Amino acid sequence: MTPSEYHRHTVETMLSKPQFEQVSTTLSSLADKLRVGAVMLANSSGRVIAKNVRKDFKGDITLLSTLAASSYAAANEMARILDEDDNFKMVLHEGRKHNIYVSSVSDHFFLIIVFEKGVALGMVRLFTRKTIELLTPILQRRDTRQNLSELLGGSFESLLNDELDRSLTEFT
Amino acid sequence: MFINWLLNEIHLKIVYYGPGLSGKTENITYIHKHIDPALKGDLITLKTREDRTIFFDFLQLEVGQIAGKKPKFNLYTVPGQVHYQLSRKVVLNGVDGIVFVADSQREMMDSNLDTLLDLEKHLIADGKTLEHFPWVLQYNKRDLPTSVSINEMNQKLNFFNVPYFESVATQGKEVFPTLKTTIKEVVKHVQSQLNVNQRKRA
Repeated sequence: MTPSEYHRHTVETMLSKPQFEQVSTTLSSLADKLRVGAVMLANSSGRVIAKNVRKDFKGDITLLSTLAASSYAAANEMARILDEDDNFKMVLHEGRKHNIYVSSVSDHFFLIIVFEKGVALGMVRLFTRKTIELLTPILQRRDTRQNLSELLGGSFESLLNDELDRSLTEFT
Repeated sequence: MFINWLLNEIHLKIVYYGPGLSGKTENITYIHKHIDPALKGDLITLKTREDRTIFFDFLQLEVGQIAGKKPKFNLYTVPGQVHYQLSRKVVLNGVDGIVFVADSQREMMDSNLDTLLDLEKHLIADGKTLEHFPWVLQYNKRDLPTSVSINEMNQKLNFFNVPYFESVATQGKEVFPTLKTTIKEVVKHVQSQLNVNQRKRA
């Protein structure tokens, strides 16, 4: 893999701290407006980048995000099979008590909103669209990058190896 | 690799790849059962009624802080059956390292090779190659009488001289060492890529 290809594959690692903070604020505002259980921004692998979760929300955010990413990716494969010009814009899962709305933000990110039946889907669509408009420029901005080499250099590898040897073993 | 600078988390995605019934789910299930409960999340398994993986299994592990960052490892398996090719492609999205679980039985040698070529095809479509990607081989089911010699397994599958393990996943043999080595290979790979980038900029 060339360095530029590597950069493409790790683009999400390159968000700066201010970007993360602005994303968090934007999600918080969306959650307040809709009064929903949980709002998450995840990358295409389902890793949660930022979230706003109501105190009484019971679901496991990591698992929800992983499964939402997979269902969204599966939907996009279906779009490809059907010769859609673009990916599906959203995926909606409707339950008896909860709904899950998944919407793409760009090729690399998507929003997951978990909301109760009482919240109107039209409101969710409207505010999600506005939130995506706010998030897109934040995520596209090229801030001064955090120094990945500094983090992974020096003693990182040996410290990690020690920790792996300590942790990833049979628990007795 | 994904780093969340706000939450101080480093995420790695490791995928267990291999032909159907080679022991991918057994690896992840064994880890889930035998690791310190404080380090693991719930295990998700998406199976058919016949108990075969239909989409993936998922387990998140979290170890102690390193350089102020919390490493989290997201372990996935893929469905091994031939007709789930698109599901495998979806699960490989954003993968950082791969454990290829090969079935040591002689009658599975063709399936092992076909699945390895299927993996290479998906990686190439994503701008990666097996030659320049962190992965390890796990030769599973070494306890079976029909298992092929390690020399032969290496000749048929280990073209790039990657680390390999002789395992019996159902008994946990070499399950943890396989995972540890894969993670170490990923970190080594990221560091070498960063060095290439720095040299390019210099």
